[in-house]
Amino acid sequence: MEFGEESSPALAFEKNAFELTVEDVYDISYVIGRDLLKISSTGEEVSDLQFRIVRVLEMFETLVNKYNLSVEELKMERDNLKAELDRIIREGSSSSGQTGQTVGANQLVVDLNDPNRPRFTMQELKEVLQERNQLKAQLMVAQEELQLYKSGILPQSEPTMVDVDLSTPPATEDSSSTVNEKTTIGKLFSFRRK
Amino acid sequence: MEQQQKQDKTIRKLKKQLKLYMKKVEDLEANARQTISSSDTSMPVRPVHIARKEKEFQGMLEFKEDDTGHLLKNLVVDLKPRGVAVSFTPGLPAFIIFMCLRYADSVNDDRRLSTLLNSTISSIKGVIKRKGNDFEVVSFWLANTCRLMHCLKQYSGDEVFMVHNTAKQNEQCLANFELTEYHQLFGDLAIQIYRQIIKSMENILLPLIIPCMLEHEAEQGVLGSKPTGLRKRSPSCPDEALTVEVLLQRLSFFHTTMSQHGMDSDIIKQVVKQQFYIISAVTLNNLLLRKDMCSWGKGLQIRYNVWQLDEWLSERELSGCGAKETLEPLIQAAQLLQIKKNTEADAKAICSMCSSLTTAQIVKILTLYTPVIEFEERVSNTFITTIKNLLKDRAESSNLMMDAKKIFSVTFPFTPSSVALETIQIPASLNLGFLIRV
Repeated sequence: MEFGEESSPALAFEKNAFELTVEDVYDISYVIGRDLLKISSTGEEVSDLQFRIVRVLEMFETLVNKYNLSVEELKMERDNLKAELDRIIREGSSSSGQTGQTVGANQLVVDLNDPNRPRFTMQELKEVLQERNQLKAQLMVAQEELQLYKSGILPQSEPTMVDVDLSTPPATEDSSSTVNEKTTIGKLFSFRRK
Repeated sequence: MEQQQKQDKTIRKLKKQLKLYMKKVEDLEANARQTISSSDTSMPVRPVHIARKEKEFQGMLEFKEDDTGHLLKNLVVDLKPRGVAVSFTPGLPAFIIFMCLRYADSVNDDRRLSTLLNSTISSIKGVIKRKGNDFEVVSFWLANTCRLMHCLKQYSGDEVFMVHNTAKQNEQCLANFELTEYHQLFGDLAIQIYRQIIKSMENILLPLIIPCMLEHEAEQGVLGSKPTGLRKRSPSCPDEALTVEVLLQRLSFFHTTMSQHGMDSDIIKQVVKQQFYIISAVTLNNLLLRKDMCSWGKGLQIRYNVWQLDEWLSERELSGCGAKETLEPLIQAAQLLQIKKNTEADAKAICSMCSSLTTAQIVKILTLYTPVIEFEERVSNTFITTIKNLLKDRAESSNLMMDAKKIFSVTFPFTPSSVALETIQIPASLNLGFLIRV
């Protein structure tokens, strides 16, 4: 039994349609019935009118009832889904450690304490690899040259000294071999300069 | 495959119908030829429009005796006291039963009639027994039982009851049977239901009376200002403040419900009077037992609450129903708490004022009276003795307590209705399609 605030049945007429309850429909029925009785009480026309009004009110009762039930059901379902969602989020965040972040699609979660974590950009990686390749090539050349010197093909003089050192008389090499040396070395290092 | 079978079936059905219609046409043609040949000269050749006479309903409902059980199940046993049909036409169940009764009377079937009446009485009794604690149900059936009883009188043919009838209503009086005995039976049933309604209301009111009328204290010493913050709380809160307002809300609910059920205003007045008596008696009885309720401040509070009840009566146009008078002992007790209680003159004033209180009650209150202010003194023994002496010639009961269970005897004055039975059409939601409107 609902007591609520003191309310006359006529107040039901002033309510918002979507806030009506079946109790309001009954109050409305009472007021209309009473008013109809005042204007006329006899005649088949009035009788038919009354009957039709009652019919409409019966349909109205059914609709208001159904509407309120549906609203309740939908609210319950929404609350259930909300609770479910909260639960899943809580479980999800607790299992991924200290990040406390929600992970979207196509994202990587990185542990900052992981020593094997990715640290460099693609660009940086490209540059480093290029430089490595260059240095590797230089190394190969240097190694080959060393081999040549070791095997005696090339004389063991400073290969980089192209200019003639006037202060110190050179060793007993004749000029032709020096010239040859220069040419060979030039050849050897020509592709490097390129 | 299936489709073909269906089509075959349809074809067969249509063929049958066609045959039937062909036969009909043949018959009609034969009839037409017959009538034309018999009345040769006077028949006009051009077609004449024959208007159907508007059927005049007589305000009866045809029913089979076997339908009685079904009728009463849907209309009495399972009927909810709140719905579109019954709110629209208060007393509708009573009118429907009476219209069935009129039919049984018109076809001179005494068995059908007595079955209907007896089953009605037992069905109503059954509902009251099962749902006696539901105020709405009991109120609904008190209203409808009285209405049925009034119908029996109004359409009895007895001139005493026909004073306010229309001509049409007089035509509709019972033709064959005299049902005076049933007036009595329904009267007894109504009394039974009345007792039950008082009980059901009492159950709701009793837990509220003492907190609302006696115990609740208005804050800040300013009467009438509700304790701050409590005015906004809706009564459905579990910790609602039990003020006299709450009590009035219940009374309003009872009153509105009874009005909407179409209960006679005479009966409503008697119910309200009884309610007020209960409130008065319960409050006074409690006061007579508690020292903490016998102070000047409490006297003021009680008078304020009583004033609120009186205002409620005015609002609802019930001032003349005798309810206010039932509060008199309580009012006088409150006044006694406030009045001076020292001199001989005071004693005389008290004795003349407290005409509705017994000596025992006056003495008790004076004995319990607790001064709240420092310099106020308790009522002296000499004073009480003076009072006793002044009142010793009273011829009255020595009761201390009021009889809170007393129920005033109820009467059901005849109240005819202006409802025209021939205009009543039964709403679909009552599921009484087997009744035929006559």
